[in-house]
Amino acid sequence: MRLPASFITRRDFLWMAAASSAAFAQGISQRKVKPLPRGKPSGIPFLARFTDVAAEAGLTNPVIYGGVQHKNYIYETVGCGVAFFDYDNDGWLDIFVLSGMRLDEHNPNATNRLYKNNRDGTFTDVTVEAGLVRTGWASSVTVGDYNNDGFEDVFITYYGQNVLYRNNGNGTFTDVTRQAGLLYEGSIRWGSGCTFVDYNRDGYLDLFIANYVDLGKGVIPKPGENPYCNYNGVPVNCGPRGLAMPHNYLYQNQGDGTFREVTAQSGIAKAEKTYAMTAVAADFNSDGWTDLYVASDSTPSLLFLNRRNNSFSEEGLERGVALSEDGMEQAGMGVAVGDYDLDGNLDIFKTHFSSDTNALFHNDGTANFTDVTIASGFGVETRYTCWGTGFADFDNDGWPDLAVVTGSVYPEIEAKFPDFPLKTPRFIFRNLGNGKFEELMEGAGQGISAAHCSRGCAFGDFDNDGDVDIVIVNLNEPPSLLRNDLTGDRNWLKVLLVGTKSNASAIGSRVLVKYGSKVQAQAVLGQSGFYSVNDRRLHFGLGTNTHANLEIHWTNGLVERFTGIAANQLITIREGRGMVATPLPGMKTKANSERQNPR
Amino acid sequence: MEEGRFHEAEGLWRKLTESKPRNASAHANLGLALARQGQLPSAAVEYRKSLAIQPNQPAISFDLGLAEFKQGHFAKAIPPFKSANKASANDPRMPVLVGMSYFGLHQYGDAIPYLEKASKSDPANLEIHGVLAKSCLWSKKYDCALAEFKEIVSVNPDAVQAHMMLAEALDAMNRKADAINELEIAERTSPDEPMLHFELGYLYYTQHDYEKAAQEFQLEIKNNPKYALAYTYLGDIALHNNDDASAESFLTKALSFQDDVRLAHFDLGCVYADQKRNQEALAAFLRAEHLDPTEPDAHYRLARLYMALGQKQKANEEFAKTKALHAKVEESLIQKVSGGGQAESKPTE
Repeated sequence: MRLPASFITRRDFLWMAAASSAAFAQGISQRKVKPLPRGKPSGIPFLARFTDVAAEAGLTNPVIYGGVQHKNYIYETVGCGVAFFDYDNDGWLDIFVLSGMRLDEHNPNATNRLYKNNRDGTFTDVTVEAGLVRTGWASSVTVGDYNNDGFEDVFITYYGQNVLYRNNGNGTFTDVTRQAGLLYEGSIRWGSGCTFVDYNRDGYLDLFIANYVDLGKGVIPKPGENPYCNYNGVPVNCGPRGLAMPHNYLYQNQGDGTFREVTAQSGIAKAEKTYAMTAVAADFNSDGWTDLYVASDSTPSLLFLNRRNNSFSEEGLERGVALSEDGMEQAGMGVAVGDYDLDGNLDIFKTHFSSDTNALFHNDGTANFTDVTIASGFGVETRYTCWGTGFADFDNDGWPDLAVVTGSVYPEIEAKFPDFPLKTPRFIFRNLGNGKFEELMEGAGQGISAAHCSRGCAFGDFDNDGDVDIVIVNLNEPPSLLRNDLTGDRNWLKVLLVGTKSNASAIGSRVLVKYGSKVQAQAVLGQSGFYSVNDRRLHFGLGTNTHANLEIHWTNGLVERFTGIAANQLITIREGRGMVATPLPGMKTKANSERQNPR
Repeated sequence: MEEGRFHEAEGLWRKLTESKPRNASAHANLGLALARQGQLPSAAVEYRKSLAIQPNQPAISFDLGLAEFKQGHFAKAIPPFKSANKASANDPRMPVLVGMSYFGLHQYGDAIPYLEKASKSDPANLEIHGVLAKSCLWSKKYDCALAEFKEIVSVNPDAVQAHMMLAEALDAMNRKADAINELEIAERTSPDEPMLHFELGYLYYTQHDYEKAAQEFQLEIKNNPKYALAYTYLGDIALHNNDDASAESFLTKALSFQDDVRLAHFDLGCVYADQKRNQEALAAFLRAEHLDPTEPDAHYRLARLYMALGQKQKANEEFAKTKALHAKVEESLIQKVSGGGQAESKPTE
């Protein structure tokens, strides 16, 4: 029998199959793209080596987050962030690790944890003493001094009620959610990304809160319950696609310890609803007003440009940071902001689901972005589901590198598809200085090549040795603390901004550091990576340069310049009041590390 | 009739139907005489008249079904076949014909039970296995497809088409390596088989093995020098490898053979855009958009290009189309997924 004229050709069939698996087989946008062929290794030595010292440093409690073998619901899978911040102002980075819980068991270990830096390479769990014990589905964290009292406060989003902790300045925190006006009752929200941001330049940190899925509408089907909740035939948790999308929220700091919701009047509510994840506040168009970028999962990412009149306009699509180069939705998870090509502008890197590349967007300085993923060499990696990320000059060669942590969301599929394991390695893309990056795994040390199911990560110099270390959340495992054992004698500079008219944490401020013929921009961020917070001391590798010039763009509009700054020290700049240069406090030299309340 | 003098028989039966229009047998025999002369539409009319006068005639129902089936009127063939089948359930022809009719209607799932019955009655009939296998494949019953195609290639290892379809089933089951293996067997058996190299190339392409994919596309072009899709994918691979010059050459050639390949226009637009040949890029993206306005990529590329050209209004129109297409998909998914399922527990705090 001859086949009918409308016989489905193999091409049609394959296209149909590909389309259905790409868009619908599971609930995450999986743009199937082709990894680029890998070029020959550059052969340039990479002097940074990462060693996981979490166990010996005392970070031994697992981050409880959903089922281990099976995850039935999407909120078990997304995971949480981590913060490097100095909660006691002793000059040493402490670590705050968020936590989830289990659906089917009470686990007394399921709490967020604050680890105090002992200044000898180890940490002590001070969660109980600090008043931070809390069990729930925590998502993300932002750290900032919302009441300008000189101590960093903490805001955490939850699947459930978000929480604001005021830092009491004595090693303890108080839950002030209700007093601050941030309690919501009668509705279920799933807070995802969040960031402190002074959007109206009044010197007080406001609060932007992204929401991931609107669980108040409809229901979450169980794994395998419909064709959209399976991964190549294996029943898996559903979503986010197919679940209702929420809008995001903006709260204005009233300056009296309370916040007022301004979502509607600020234009935030006007934006398309998306599955919003990590939120970043920075001045992308260099106009002195802080903008917002939100990575969205499986939907267009959002760029809220500050209109300088207490409102924002969402222009992600028009500005080239909403979709892929070909206009396809991508599963945006984490965001790094940095100046990879040293043109003085803040570029954006966004992490995605497996089978897609991550994306690098080049900023022309006016918040018009070009997708340079392929040209910059990021197209070679599509194997892993990528989450936390950050620009940091790991080898202090003067060119910001990039790190990414990874991990699957479907523990169930590994048994059937060994090529899709739950635990996957991290990777570094080292900056070759010519607009291109080179991927490193083993070449960056055991801490990078080790496989874990990771989510958030934060970058900072926890041992104050002049390089950038990494702390990483691993689901249902203890965190990783990757100590950077950098060799060589390259120079660096750290810059700590303290606002006096601008918000005290200087979140949103932009720093340009000029060294040799290079100029690098960085911003003080309230959140980045995946749901996480980096060391607020901005770290600049200087290569062989021994001096640098600084240009500070404070969020309140003041621009300050400092010239001839010697390398290898911490520069603390108080807005309008000059700078103080100090060496980094060394291990076990407590006298060096004591600092005054900076405000 | 028995002597094969159908035309004369037709005349005699026609006279009888004219004189005795309520004679069911006369209409049935007139239908048969017409059918034997290949006049199937007229035959079907007479069979229907006969059945209208005397409905319970399984043999005439079968003849009617056959007359419709042979004309390709599968939907019209099925009811009389089923009617005939009631009276003669053991007639081995019935499941074959009903199954084939459903197959002809592309109702592959409906065809399967009949074809399975037919295959049990006549297990050595590879044609029935073949149609059953295809029905299973196209109704996405891959285990069944796999079993049937394997049966065929076990009897006839040189059945190239069976290897190719088996590969298709394996591919759909995400057993890419096995699928490639089947196509490689087919390639060794019959290297000149049309589409074989393209299919193998496409499978390599989906596995990101571009070097092998390109080799296969080139081999397909040797067999079929004007095969536009092979040139298109060669162009796509070249574009992916940042070889704009080769990409442009392949894609232009593809379009010279077949002007309506959307991917070729889109990729060519990307090549031109990379080279800042904006007007040519514009034309290529517009053509791609015209060929399939439901794909957001061309709209988005056009929007970005219009922005670069300072044509903000046109850019906004294309951005809006991009946004609307994505929103439509999301809304549809929300309807499908959140419409059913069990309510989930609230978070514990």
